Amino acid sequence: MKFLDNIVLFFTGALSFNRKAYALIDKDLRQEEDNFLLAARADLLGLNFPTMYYMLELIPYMVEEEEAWIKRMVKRKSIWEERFSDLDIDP
Amino acid sequence: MLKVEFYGGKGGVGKTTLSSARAYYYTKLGKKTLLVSTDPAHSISDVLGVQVGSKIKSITPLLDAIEIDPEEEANLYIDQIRRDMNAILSPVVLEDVNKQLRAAKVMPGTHEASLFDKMIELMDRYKDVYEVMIFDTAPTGHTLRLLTLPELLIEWFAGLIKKREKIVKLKAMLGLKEEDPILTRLKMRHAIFLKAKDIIQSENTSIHLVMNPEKMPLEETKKAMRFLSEAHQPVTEIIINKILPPNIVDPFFKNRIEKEQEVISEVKAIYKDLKITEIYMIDQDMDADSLIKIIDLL
Repeated sequence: MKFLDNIVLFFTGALSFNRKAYALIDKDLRQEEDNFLLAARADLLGLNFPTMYYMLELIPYMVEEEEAWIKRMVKRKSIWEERFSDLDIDP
Repeated sequence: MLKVEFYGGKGGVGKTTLSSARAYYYTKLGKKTLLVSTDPAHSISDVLGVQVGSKIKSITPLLDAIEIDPEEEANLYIDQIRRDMNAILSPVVLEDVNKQLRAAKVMPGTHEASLFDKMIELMDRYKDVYEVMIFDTAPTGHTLRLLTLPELLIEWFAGLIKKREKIVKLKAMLGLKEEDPILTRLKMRHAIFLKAKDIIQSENTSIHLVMNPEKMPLEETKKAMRFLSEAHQPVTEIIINKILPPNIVDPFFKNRIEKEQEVISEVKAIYKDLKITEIYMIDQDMDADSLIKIIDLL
């Protein structure tokens, strides 16, 4: 049965032409989310904006994005690596 | 159509007295009036002789008053966020966010924003209840600066909305189509600030600067005038308060009276197009009874 599963997996992988496109969008999305987070929660970096008060009400909905962002920031090994990976986005 | 008047000026020049007197003046014309104090050092209670609080209180059948408490408003706002949060977040992250919210209560800017929010709320929610709304603001530069806030915030929120819309679009492309509460909230705020800008820049809204006939308040008034004209918020009236009566013969006061008149003519010369109101000093301390004397002078 496992053998059969592997064959199925092999063909889904080999024939999935959308994968690269999805990965591209996913990368774009993460970039946009980071940008938004920076604009909305600049106070986390110590920048004080007059809008900070109004951003408080967004916190409950941004916790997830924030956590993902922190994880990404902690995991990154080098900025170069990240930039080079732009050229080859296959995960 | 609601008429809104803001009274500003240096500390101690008589903003509270004059705005209270103006409020009474409008009630004498038969207009339902709300007197709002935004000064953290509230004193309309002392002038009116009635204890006013952070809830709207009726003073006379036509006059209501309220003293905004920025701290209380900020607490209400943050507690509401906390309630929203409890419904959607897991207890693990809750504590972390709670820490952020607690810190926000004492963050610089929080009280200004909560004060501004309450002002907008009053102007919007009660626009059909009152004919006139009079704001007794904190010393110059503080609350008057708030009047220019909507413009800044509208732009900022428009930018955030654009960014957020892009995120929602990308998510939709990945098949993650769902309601985005962040976008909804951003749009709601944006709409509120647009409304505030409409009210503040409407023809029915006017700014009145109060000063005393002395050099320092004059400089402060000039500064405020400059700032407000740069922000396209024209001032309609300058009230010169506590002028010494001209009939004093004592040489000490004679000298002072001359100096005061110099300042008054300077104001008249610089601001030719504005309404300049002169109020003479009265021989009593300010309370509900002496207020009546001033109402007729306005």
